[in-house]
Amino acid sequence: MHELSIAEELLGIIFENAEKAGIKKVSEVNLRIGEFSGILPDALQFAFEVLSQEKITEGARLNIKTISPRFVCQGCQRRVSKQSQICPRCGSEEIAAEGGHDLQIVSFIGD
Amino acid sequence: MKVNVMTDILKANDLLARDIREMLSSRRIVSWNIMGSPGSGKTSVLERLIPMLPAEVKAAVVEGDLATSRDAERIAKTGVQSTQINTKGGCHLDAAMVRSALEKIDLDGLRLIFIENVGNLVCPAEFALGETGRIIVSSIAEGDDKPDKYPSMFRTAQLVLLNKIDLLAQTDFKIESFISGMKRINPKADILQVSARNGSGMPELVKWIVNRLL
Repeated sequence: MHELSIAEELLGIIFENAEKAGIKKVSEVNLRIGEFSGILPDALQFAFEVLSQEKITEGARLNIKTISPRFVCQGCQRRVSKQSQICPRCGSEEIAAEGGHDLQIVSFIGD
Repeated sequence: MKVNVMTDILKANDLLARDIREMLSSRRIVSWNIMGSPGSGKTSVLERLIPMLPAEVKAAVVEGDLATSRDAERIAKTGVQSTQINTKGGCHLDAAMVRSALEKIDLDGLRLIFIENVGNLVCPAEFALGETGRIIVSSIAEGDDKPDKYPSMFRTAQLVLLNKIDLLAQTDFKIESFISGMKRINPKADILQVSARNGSGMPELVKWIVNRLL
């Protein structure tokens, strides 16, 4: 829902770093986006394209790596699979997700 | 040429939020980000809660809203300072909006700030506002499956208020289902059953808030 404001922040970071590196045209952008971040890749791509018109990022591709959270049993502190509702080792029903909120730009490619 | 950046996209917001958090805690002010669906009762809970706080606990409210100042006007009637942020259609508050709102509040002697976020169970979860912690208001009428359906939001809360508990008998809401959903999503959060309408559960909420003052 807020992909437009995310795209604005993202472009700000790219423009700043591209200027430092003397890059005039960006072709690819590599991102890490957590499953829990609430970001829809298609909506982010769309917002990125709209805001990139007549900018150095026009036509650049977003490569999005989806990051899964870890599920940890609160009873025995061991990792369990995503589907588990009950810890197979200690039987606790308290399984908490950790991470998966990532929203990062890793790198970009340009000339 | 490849340029390595490795930066959180919301870094600017997160840094600003950290500054706000440090500034408030240096003044011994605890701030709660109040989140929940439109109509869950965020403002009503605050209206009921604020007059029940101990007299020495001075509070203020920052109200987020898309377009109106109705909520801030309701809060102003409780006698505490309140200020309105209009997001002009934006779906969430961010740290910059909160910083400008705090400039309009006299922070001297304050112990508590409630920041009422835009009614929305999705976007506000991602934007730190400099709050000490988060309280979600979820109402009986919304159904007992909300923690499972909006995990990003419910995962970040320290407290969930199950509001409109007075309507329980009129609905199919199962408290056990809601609680087991919360156990799956965020077992550390506290859950309090309240009614902003008839005041039930509110003394427990006052105690919860007062126990967490700095």
